[in-house]
Amino acid sequence: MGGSTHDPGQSASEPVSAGRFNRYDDFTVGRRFDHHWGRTIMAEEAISFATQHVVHEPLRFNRLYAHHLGYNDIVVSSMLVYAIVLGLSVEDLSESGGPFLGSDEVRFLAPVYPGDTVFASSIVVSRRPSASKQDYGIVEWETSSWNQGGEPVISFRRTNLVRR
Amino acid sequence: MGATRATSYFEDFRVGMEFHHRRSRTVAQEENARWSLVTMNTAQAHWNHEAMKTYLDGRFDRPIVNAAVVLGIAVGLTSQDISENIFADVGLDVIRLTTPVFGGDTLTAKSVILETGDDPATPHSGRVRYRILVSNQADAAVGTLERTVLIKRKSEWQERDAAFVTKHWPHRELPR
Repeated sequence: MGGSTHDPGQSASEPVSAGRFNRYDDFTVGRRFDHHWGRTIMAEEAISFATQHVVHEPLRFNRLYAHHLGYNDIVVSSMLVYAIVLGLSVEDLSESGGPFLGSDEVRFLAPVYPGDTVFASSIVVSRRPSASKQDYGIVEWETSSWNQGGEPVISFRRTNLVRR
Repeated sequence: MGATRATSYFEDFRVGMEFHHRRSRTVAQEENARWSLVTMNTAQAHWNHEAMKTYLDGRFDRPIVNAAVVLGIAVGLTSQDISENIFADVGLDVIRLTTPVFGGDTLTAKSVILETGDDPATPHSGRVRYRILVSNQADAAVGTLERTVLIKRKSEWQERDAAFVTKHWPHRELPR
C-alpha cells in the first residue's frame, strides 16, 4: 500500500498498530496510493444493499429480470460499488479525520456481478489550505477501481477536509 | 404492473419535470455502523462513539453517517419514480454534502429532470440526467447530486416487458 504504515525501525517491544494516518502534508499532488485488501461482492449483500437503501430497481434484486435485460446475473447497485471502492480508499486517504465534502465525475464503467472482486487505487489531484479551519486542508483524489479481469468498473473524484 | 411500471420509460421524462418522492427514510446509527463496516470504511467517525470526543475537536457528540450511505439512500428514494426501468448507470456529478447526518435523522428527496437524450452506444435506451435534493426532518438541505442513467425506451421494451409479465405473472390479463 502506498501510505505511510509501519515504521520498520520500531523495536520488537513496541505494540504493533496500523501506523499513523496520512495527513495533509502527505498528499503531494500526483502521489499514488494502491489500496490494500480488495473486496469480493456477494449476491446477498448486493440485494441487502439495494433493499435497505430503498433502491427499487428490479435489476438489483431479481435475477430473471436481469436476464430479461440481457445481463448474466443481477447487476450490483452502482451505489454499493461506489461505497465499497470509497471504503477501500479510506485508510490511506481520509482516516485522519475530516468530513466528506463532495465527489465529482463518478463514472460507472462496467456492470459488477455477484462474485466479482474489485481492487482500487487513488492519485492526489489537488490540495489547498482550508480558509475557515487553520488545522485542516482540502484534498481531492481521483480513485479508480477494476475487477478480477483488470476491467475498469468505476472512477471518481472525492474531496475531503483533511487534518494538517 | 409486473416488474416495472409502464409510466416511467425514457419517453415519459421531460426536462423540468419535478418529483417529490413520497417515501422518506429514517437512518439508524446501527445501519451507519453496519454499512460503513460492510463497505470496508475504516473511518471510526461512523462507528465509534468514543472517537467523536476528538473528531473535529469534539464538535459532534455522536457518529456522523457515512456519505456513501446518505447518497445510497438519496438515490434509492428517487428510484421507484425515476429509475425503476433503468438499463445501466452512467454516472454521478457535483455531489455536495453540506449538513452532517446523524443516526435517527430522516432523509427526504426531491428530483428535477435536467436533460434527456440519445445514447449512441445503447440505442434501445435513453439518457436521463436528474438532480436530487436531499433534506432532513428539519427541512434543512443535506446535499445535492446529479445522477445520469440509461432508461429503457418504451418503443423498444414495452412488448418485451409485457412478455416477461405474462411469463412470470401467468394469471394476469394484460390491458390492451
